[in-house]
Amino acid sequence: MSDPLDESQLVNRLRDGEEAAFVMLVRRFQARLYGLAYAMTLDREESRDIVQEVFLKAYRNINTFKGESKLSTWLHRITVNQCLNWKRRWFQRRRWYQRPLAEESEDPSAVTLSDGNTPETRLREEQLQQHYMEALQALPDKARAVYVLKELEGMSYDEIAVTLRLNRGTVSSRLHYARKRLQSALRDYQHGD
Amino acid sequence: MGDDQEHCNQEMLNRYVDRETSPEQMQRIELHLQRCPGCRQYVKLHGELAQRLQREVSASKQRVDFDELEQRIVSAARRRSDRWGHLREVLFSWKLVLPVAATAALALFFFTSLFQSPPPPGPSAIINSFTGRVSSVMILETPQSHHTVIWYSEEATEGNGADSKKL
Repeated sequence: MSDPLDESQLVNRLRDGEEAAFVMLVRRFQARLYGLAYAMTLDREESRDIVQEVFLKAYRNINTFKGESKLSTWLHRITVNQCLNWKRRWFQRRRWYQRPLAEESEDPSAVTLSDGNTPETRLREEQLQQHYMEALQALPDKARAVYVLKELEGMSYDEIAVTLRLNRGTVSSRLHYARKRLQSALRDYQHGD
Repeated sequence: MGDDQEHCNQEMLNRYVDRETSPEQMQRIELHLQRCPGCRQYVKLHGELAQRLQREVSASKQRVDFDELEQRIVSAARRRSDRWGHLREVLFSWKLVLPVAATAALALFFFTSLFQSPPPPGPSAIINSFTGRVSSVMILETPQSHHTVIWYSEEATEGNGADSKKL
């Protein structure tokens, strides 16, 4: 199915309840929203469920979308909120921190930075990746959301502020806090310059 | 280290990493980075971490079948839409609206009379009274109780307390 619609046309057709428009919406945004959900949760299965729920919510509430921000911003906001709700649910079940990260990172191509490394270097890289993911998981929700939108999505401070309904100063300070925490958690793995 | 120290500011470095500085600030920070290994390492570390995150997410995306996910999402939307459409059809059909309205009217009538507060107590009624030479008796009744009131005539007892006590 081709996807020639611009955003306002897509939104209008979604408001009319057109299934084809919904399929276009899913096709256009699912990979990006999955990436965001995965970076927030580090869990493939849950990320798929979250993405599904985000699209269903968007479909149901498309009439509340005023068009003041971009459609992608609105979808990102729903995704972040859904991820935070997911974490609350999981905290109640006390599973999140007990989940071994190696299960998600079993593909070595996901963690190595360069080819031709010695086994020691590879091991060190894998350990660093593991610690990084753990440190990311341990960040407070609000700081992690800002960090992920910045580092994964490459959003500007203003775009993050609109997405999370924060002011620019808060975005800057949360990002600073997140990076300090990560740096501190990974101190042992930092190389000399 | 006056000028250097001014630039040894992680918040400023963050803005530099995020390209949120003015061209002048960027130039100053770059000059500072040439001389400061600590800040160079900070910038390098966070650049690498961002790449790691992107790589991790990208690797995870490669393991997802997005066609299957799309079908799953569309089917779920269709199911919900069908369910809601059916629910709406049922909710707003005359077959349901009329009986519900009639039941509501009956319930309203029933509960209104059931929970209506009792009427306020009526005035007391004098059932009977007698007036003799020495005393008077009055029997009166209220909705809650029955009273008999006896009182002596002051004129009869005046100057004759003993008689009065005998009564």
